[in-house]
Amino acid sequence: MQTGPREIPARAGVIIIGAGVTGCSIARELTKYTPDVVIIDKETDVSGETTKANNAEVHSGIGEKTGTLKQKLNVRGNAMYDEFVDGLGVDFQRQGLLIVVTPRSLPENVSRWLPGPVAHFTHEKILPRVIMRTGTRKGIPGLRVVSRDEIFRMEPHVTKHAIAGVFDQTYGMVAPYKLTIALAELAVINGARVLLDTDVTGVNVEGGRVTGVVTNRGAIEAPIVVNAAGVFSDQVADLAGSGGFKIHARKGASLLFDRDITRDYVRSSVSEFRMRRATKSKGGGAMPTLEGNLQLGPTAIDVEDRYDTSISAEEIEEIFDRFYYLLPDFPRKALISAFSGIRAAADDEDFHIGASETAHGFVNVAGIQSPGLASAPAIAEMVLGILHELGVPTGKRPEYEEVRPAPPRFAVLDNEERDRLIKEDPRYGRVVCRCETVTEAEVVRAIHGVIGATTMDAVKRRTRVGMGRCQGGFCGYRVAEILARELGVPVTEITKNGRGSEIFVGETKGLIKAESG
Amino acid sequence: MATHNYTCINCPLSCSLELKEEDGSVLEVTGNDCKVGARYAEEEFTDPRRVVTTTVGVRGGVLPLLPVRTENAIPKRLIWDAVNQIAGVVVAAPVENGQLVLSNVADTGVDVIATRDLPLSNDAQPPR
Amino acid sequence: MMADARRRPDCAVIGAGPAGLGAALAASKAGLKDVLLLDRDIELGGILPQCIHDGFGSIVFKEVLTGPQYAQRYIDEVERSNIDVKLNTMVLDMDSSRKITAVNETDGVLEIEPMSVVLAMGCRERTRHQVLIPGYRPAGVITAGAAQREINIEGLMPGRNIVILGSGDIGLIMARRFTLEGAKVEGVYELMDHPGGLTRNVVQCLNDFDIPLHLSHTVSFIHGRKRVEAVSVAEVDENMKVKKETERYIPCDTLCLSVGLIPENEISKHAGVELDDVTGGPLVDERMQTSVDGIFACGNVVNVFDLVDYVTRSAEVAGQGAAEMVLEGLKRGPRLRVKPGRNVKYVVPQFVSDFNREIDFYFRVEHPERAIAARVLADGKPLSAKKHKMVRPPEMIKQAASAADLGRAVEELTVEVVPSDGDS
Repeated sequence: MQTGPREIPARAGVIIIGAGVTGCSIARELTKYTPDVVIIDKETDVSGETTKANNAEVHSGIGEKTGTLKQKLNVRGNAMYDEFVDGLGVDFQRQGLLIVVTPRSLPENVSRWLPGPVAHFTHEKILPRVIMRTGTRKGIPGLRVVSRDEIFRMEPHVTKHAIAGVFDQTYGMVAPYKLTIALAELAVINGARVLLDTDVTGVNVEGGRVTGVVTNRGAIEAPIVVNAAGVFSDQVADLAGSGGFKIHARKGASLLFDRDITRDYVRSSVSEFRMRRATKSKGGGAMPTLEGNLQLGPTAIDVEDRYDTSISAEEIEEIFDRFYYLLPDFPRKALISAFSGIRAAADDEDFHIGASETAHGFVNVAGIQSPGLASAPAIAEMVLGILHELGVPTGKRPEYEEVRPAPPRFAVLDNEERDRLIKEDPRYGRVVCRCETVTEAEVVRAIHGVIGATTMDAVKRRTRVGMGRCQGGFCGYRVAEILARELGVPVTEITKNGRGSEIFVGETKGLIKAESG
Repeated sequence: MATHNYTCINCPLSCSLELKEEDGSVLEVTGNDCKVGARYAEEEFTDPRRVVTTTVGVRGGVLPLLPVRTENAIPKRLIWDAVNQIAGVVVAAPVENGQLVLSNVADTGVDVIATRDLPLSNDAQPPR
Repeated sequence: MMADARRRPDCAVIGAGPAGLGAALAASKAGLKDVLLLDRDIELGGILPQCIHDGFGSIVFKEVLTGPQYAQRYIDEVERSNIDVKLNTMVLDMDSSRKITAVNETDGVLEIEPMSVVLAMGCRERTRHQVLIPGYRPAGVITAGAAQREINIEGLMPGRNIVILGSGDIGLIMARRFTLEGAKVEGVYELMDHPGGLTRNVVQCLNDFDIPLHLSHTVSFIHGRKRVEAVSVAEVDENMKVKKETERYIPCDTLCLSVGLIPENEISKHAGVELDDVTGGPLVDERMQTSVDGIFACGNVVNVFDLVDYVTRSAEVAGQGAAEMVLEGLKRGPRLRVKPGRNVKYVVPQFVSDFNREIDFYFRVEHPERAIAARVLADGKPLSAKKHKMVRPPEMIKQAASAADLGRAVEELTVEVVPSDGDS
């Protein structure tokens, strides 16, 4: 099933390749100055690849190496976040990160040589101050050292091995796919076009200038092309002869727990400080999602296959093992979901943002791995600077619409509002997903939204249908039938996440007979 | 002489039964804990029977399918004949529980009946 | 507005499956004039309409019915009664004072303040994540109950080449159902070293159709990014760990899961009802009253019963209990905890306060055992006993007992399984 506008445009002012959080942040920022923006993505929905499996952390930047571009953009991006989400109708909360120092914080080959009292003193007094001072030097505000007793007051489930800690209050969480959908929708409201199920097969460069892209659905001319293609950004850069960096896939797996059991299990995010782990991943943490679920992870494993979003038994065990130490009583049985995604890591581990020197008008925004979500506002700001130099007008459009109307969410309304909605539209009185209390009206609105959902996963991302403890067991067929009805297609064409992921393979004998007769 | 193996289904003991026969006549059943088991093995050998349950298409009903059953058990070897014949049946709503859907299925002398009421739909079926 | 929709019935029953139907009818027959039966579905019967196979009713009706037939008997009776039925109605919440918030499209938000409540929401299926199956997350991984609904009610085929994990009864029933609809069931894989379902279903659903059952096996990986392309299966060792060297790759388009059921108690929890860690359902007494006054529970909300007949029986007790409370102002006496004794995993009800009536104790054993007697003991003396040739964890045992003849209060109440000699 083809989604988005049926006709692809012949030309555009700016083409953005990749509708993840990076591409859509740039698009929203760009439409403040020009409506002539086209976003292209090979997936069936925006946020359909790396962003959808991002684990929602808006880091402060404390874990990044001083002097890197990503450290700079992370700190800047975090500071911009409240303004960044304003008008999007998306929740963002700075619940803070508690970094816990334990006897394992120093690498074993160091602490082995220290006499017991010295090791303890180092853990209790020196490490927290080192963490804090390094962070402050990076420009992170509001860090403070917390004592062991304070840790237990803040987070009663943390291991009794805890020695001391640092509280990082600017750390927050945002639902990455909701953010991205909202950014893309606001861009569309302001004139941008989103082409989904569209694969870029070539980038045209003539006389040292980029002139457009070739897709599986035809060519589009454009003087400016932004490469925000995530895991595939090195390949897209090569199409424009503007590569020179290599992306490798780094898998991150997370576990999600039933929120009815795990709500308030942790109040802020909690992670264990391990010196040796600092290079590739921040080591992951235990975090309360905005919906109240406990989430553990992510892992960080380099993989060959850029499509490898599987989770192995070993990865699940690794997460369990790691958190049994930090949170000895975490409710393992309340696990409801495990997910993994691919981070687009450049070989030098830094972001690659800049205009091509060989193809004028081509801009790489590549290697955006963690902390890409936290950095998104600053990346968009930086890219806009480059685009202005390339000729994008610098004057703000007076007609720019600041606010994206967010659809009501029945589950969180009070009874008066619920009653009023049902009187307006009786479909609010039909609860489709009982675990998450999602109504038919919300599903229908998601399907007919600014960027309409055409798949089960797209409906799920917009409404939370099927995200609860039964994971769609009760409501799956209902959602498929509503999709079929609203899109005017047979239910057998409805997919989980695009062609090849059909939910049903056909009809039963009795039904076939009844229809043909 | 030939032997046939069965698992008794009459109680949780689930005895493994062995039946010895010569030219179709039962010589001996072993492995059974009680008489029920011996009788079961003989039935399974001489005339195994099963109730068949499936669905048929409905026109104009609140649901697209009607559940049906063979009123009594039919010979096990005729299950597929029965299922294939039932698959060709379409009924019109409204349907009443126990209503005859197909008589003498697969020439067994057993009828196929509806196993629930199925009222008429108020509106058209959702498109598929 | 909402105030108009406020109702104060004698009894509100949440869920209209076999438990809710039975409870509403029992409450009504016991004299309650205003019984309100709420269900989220478009019709009565709960899960029964999709259970088109036979095997229901041998205890209650002394005949073998299909699921829809079993449900129809109660539906007919409810339709003849003055029970107020609200379908398409979703209960969103209930507090400890029994105030229920529900919604439907015609009434909007309903606020209901019943004199008594019967919880009859049934259970839900465990998913792949609760049994931790590694791999991708493609389309084509489905629970057996969902597959059953799609095939038997909607007429939609979830797949053509099926691997089934779990040999619980629904998994076995679906192996046959898939086969009759023309799909190929490659095999049923069971983690334990014994089938999870009834022997009758192993014989009639698998053996009849030459579908292999692989015991001590599990699915070790789900392959396929978009739709299931294959699963890896492997043997497990005594600790249920996968033996890597036995791993096999089986092409298929669907993995169907029958890996257990969990009582559905979200509403119970909101109302402050105390749950049993072992059953996952409310702690109840002999009237099926929960820890919260006036809130009763029955059927699979309390514990996952193996037979619908037992669900009905527990529902009748709950419905009568609710009526007694409303009509006679039933007061709760001191509660005595029922102790699970030798080879007994748990007992329902967990508490007894009035033992001068005959009480049905339902329980499961911890491990299979031959030639036993199931006994109810009061202060160490047997009140009742029954011999069984064989007992297995999947099959519930029912043992009735009363202390009416004892002529004194009981201080310790135990249910146990002990070896017995001779025939039963």
